[in-house]
Order: sequence, then structure tokens, then C-alpha cells
Amino acid sequence: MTGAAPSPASAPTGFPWAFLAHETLAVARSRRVKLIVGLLIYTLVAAPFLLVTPPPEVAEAVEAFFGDGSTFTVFVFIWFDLAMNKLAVFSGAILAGGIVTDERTAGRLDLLLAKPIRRSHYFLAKLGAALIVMAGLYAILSLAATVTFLYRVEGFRPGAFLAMAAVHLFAPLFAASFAASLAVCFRRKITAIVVSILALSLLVGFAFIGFYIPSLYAVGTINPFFHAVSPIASLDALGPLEVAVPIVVLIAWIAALAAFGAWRTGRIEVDG
Amino acid sequence: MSDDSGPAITIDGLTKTYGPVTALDAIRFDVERGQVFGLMGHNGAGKTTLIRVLLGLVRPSGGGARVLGHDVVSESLEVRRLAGFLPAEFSLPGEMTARRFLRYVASMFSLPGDEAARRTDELLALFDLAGDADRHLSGFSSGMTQKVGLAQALVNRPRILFLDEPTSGLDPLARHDFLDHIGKLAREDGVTVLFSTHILSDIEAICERVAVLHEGKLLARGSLEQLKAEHGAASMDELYLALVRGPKAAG
Repeated sequence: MTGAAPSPASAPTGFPWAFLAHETLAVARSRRVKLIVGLLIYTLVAAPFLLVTPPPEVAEAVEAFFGDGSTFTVFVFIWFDLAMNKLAVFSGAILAGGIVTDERTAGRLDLLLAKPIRRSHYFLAKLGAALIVMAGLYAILSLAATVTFLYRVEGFRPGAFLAMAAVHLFAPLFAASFAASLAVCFRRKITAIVVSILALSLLVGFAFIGFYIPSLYAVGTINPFFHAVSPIASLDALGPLEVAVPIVVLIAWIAALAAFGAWRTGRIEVDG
Repeated sequence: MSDDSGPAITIDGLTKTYGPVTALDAIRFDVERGQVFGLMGHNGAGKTTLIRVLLGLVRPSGGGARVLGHDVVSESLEVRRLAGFLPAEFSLPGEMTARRFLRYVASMFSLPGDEAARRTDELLALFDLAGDADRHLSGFSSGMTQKVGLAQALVNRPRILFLDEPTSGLDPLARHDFLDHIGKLAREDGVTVLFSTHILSDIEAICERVAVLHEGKLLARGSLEQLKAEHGAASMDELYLALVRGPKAAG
């Protein structure tokens, strides 16, 4: 009725790329992504209205922090710190905050983990899918923002904006990795998401502490969100180093979180 | 050990404890290949824990087990490659269609795309789901959900099938069809089926041999006729009561 049994070859031990591809499609089609797309569109549409007359205290603070109070620098600060960082926190938690806990809550975890995939690979494939979708959404948003702001922001410099966006792209990826790694530490999804949002919001709140309080600059560099926004300080002289260094730091954070999540998932026992 | 000889399942002194609770207490029995083997016991008897240990989802605290010749701890990936599993309680991702879900499961076995598509179509046809293949699973009835559940367990053409309370919640017609499918899998394809249930009529309808678990202990094992004769039971109900509560209760 079902045909021949499979050939007795060894179980697949390599990374499950086909599963990653299917998971990516599943994530891209999910309601979570529709919600995030809604948030991104809202930000894109609403931001220009907020940017027309930025609060004077923000402009003054930007000039004090970076020695440059131009419209473009104020715009970049508002866009990346006040808008995109917050989006990174929420979209990361929404997209990846349910990895493993979602399946556990839905009663699907044992069904899925009974397949021939290492648990660590299962986590990495799920996280990888979330990161691919997140990166795609942010890349599209950044390109759309470039086109939109080119005509709406005085002195807009597409090259500097895109370089800044390339660095900041890794902020939501960090947020998603953080949320995913926390998710496998909690049995309840809501707990994992709330803790993720609180912890990430704290990091976002302190992203510029090195600029606010120069004596804390070194401590501030521990914060991944500092690196995601640090190129603002050198918008006039953005070179490969100013872009590459924060990207490398953020990739290291993401890799460390992914490794932790994979290790933690490998220790899970399906017990209910 | 080759996976082509010997029993399908060998359980040797298997123990699982959760703190002070002993979920499995030195369980020991074999399951021959190509059989539908019943795992009887009421809720909390240890049936689900035993299946989870055999699939490598839970580590045993003591003893060991082999499935198709593979150690369930050190070779659990190989066991899972050869096995199909339908849990007692599960939900399917409501946002997916039946076809997409089966392709998703096929990807977990690393089936090539064309083979995965062919296998998905075969299973959808086998379970009369072809007409609903592109509907979202959130709209499926419990009977249809159970069919998709069994279909996903067969995606890899398993040599052994673990079914945990598979007929709970099915209406009589769906239950009859489901048992019919299971019987055919064993008869026509030689698939070994470990069928866990507390529904005694299911055991009588489909199983050749059984093991009876109670509070983590193995109370009895053997063919139905042999066990009935040994315990002087005329029916499955009497047999089960005799085993769990002693002969007086059965009488």
C-alpha cells in the first residue's frame, strides 16, 4: 500500500537545507510576517510626517552628540534610533519569539522532533528561516525608504543612508536571534516574548549611552544596538571600516546566540 | 546488528524516572517484525513515555532498547529515519494546506523535491484528501486531521510505525477506516506497528500480540488468545480488569 521501505542508508547528518527552504516559505506566508509588513509600511508612511519638523531638543541633542545637526543627520538619527530600533525589537520578538515554544504549546513538538533532524539543526533551521525573512523585509523597506526619502528629506544622501541601513540590518537579526534563544529557555511563549521585548528595549534605550555620557563609551560598546547605530557618528566619512566593523561585531553576537539556542534545544526532552 | 534481522523492537530493562516518579519500571519485551503490536494501558500507564524513549525524544534513565537493530540513544537519528510517528494529541499548523504540510514533513526527511511531490500526491489520494489538498488545515475536521496525521507519519515509507492513541476522538466510521489502513500497512507492506491505546476494542480488532502496562510496569505480554486463556477471560474487558485489578475484579 505504501510501497517499498527506504534503503538502509545512513541517517542524514548534514544540515537540513530542504527543511530550511520549506521553513522559510512557511514563515514568509505566516500571519506574523503580515503583521510585521503592516508595521513596516506604517513606519514608512508615517515617518516623513514626523520628520518634517523634528523636535528641537532632538536636533540639539544630535548636534551635541555627533557635532552635526544637519537635517540629514537628524533624519538618520530619528529613522534608525527612534523608528527602526523599536521595529527591530518588536519584529524580532514577533518573528522568532515562538521558536520551539510555539510547537510545544500547539502540541506539535514531538511530531516534528520525531523526524530525522538533529535538534540543534532544527533550531538553526527555524532561526535561519526567520533571519532570511527578516533580512528580506528590512532590505525591501530600506530600498523603499531610500526612494521615498530621496524626494522628501532635505540633503538626503542615498549612499550614506544605504550604508547605514546595511549595518542596521543586523539589528533586527540580532533581535530575532535573541528572542529565539530566549524562547527555547521558557516553556511559555508569552513569557519568552515579554522577557525578550523588555531586555531588547533596555538595550535599545542604552544604545547611545556612549554618546550621552562619554565616560561610559567603552561600556556602551558591549551593547549590540550601539554597533547597529554607531556609523551615525561618522556619516560624513563613512568608509568600509566604519561599515564592516559593526557588521562583524553584530554577526558575532548573532552566531553566539544561535549557538546557545542550538545547544539549549539539543537538551530539550519532549515531556508533555 | 543489521536492521534486517531480529525483532523490530527489543526493550531490555528500560526505566524512565522523572524525579521521584517512575514512569517506566524495567520494561522488557520484544516486538516481531510485520506485526501490529498493541500497547495496552490506561492514561498514565507509561505508553507515551515508552514511545518517546523508543523515538529518542526522551532519554531513558536505565536499561536500553533497539528499534530495527538501532540503539534508541546513540542511533536515534537512524531510528527516526526509519520510523513514522503519530502522537496522541497533536495539532497541525492551521496556516498550511494539507499538501504544503506533507511537503514540509518530506523536507525533514531530505526527500528530493520531485519524490516529495509524488509521495505527497500518493498519500493525499490514499486518504481521500486529494480534493482538500489545497485547503488550510485550520478548516479540517478531527477525522481529516487524523488522516493528515497518519499521512505525515507515512511520508518516509516507514518500516515501523508508532501510533499513540490514534483513534481517540474519531467517529465510528473514521475509526473503522483508520484501523483498516493500519491493518493493510502491516499485511501488504510488512510495516511493524506499535499501536498504543486504552480502547480495548481497537486492540481486539487489529492487534496480534499485546503488552499491558500499568503504572509504569509491564503486567503481561503475549497473544490475545494466550493471555485470555491464561487469565480465564472471555473478553478483552475481562482480561484487562483481571490484569490490572486481579481475577476477582474480572469475575
